[in-house]
Amino acid sequence: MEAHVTLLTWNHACSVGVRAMDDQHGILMDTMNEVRLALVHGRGQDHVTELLDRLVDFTRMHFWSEEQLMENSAFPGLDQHREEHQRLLALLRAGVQRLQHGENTRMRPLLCALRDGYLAHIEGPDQQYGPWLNQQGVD
Amino acid sequence: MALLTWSKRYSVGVDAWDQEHSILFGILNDFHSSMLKGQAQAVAGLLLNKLMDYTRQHFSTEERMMTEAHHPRLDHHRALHHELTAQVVEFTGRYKHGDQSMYLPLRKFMRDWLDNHVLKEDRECAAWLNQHGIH
Repeated sequence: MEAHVTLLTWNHACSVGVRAMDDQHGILMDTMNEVRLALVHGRGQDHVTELLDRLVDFTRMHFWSEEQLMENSAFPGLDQHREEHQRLLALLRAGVQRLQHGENTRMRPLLCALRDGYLAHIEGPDQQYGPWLNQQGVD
Repeated sequence: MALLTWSKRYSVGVDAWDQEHSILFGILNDFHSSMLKGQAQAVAGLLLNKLMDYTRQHFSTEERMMTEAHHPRLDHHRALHHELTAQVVEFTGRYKHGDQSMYLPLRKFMRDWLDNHVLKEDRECAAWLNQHGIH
């Protein structure tokens, strides 16, 4: 069954050039994979809820880390980036709500959207702050 | 931000095993926290040493108790321990060769170890021990 699940794997193509953020992105992908696998394997709602809570906590922490780095280095694209974070968090919250209403079966499209959103974010906007931070001596 | 903090809900039902499992939770948490700060490389050597010590000490505790109780699953469980130990040795080798791509897989390996080995396999073995009066 696992063969049908496309798991996210961090690779150098999605490096933003800042070690801590690269590692956080990798952990974010692993955490997301854990949620997907739990749903595919039909794990109980308690288990999925725990993993999803962890994904929410981790996402919040990661976005906060990025925003701190951008703030400290006066990154010009901070406001726009922060809005993008809010959009992804809203998507994530929608997923948590669905699960709370016992809608396990309808989680899949939402998780796909979330996965695409995360990937597009890492491969898009996140690539912009790396060079700026590197110039400020953060790598 | 800790990844997983040991609590009663992660108990497998044998006190000596629980105590040692909490060490693995600690090792994983420390590594996770270091990764968040981009310091995986700086701590990986020490972590792998700790992990190797842990496998030696903890696996022998489990196997000794299972041997004494004539646990029917001992051979299977021991084989799983050998596999886990082999993976720790492999990660140590990668670290010594300066493999920078090993940190995420190492974190995931420990995470799976907790989920699949400790919380499933160990729990099953411990349940048998409990049925035979060992807690």
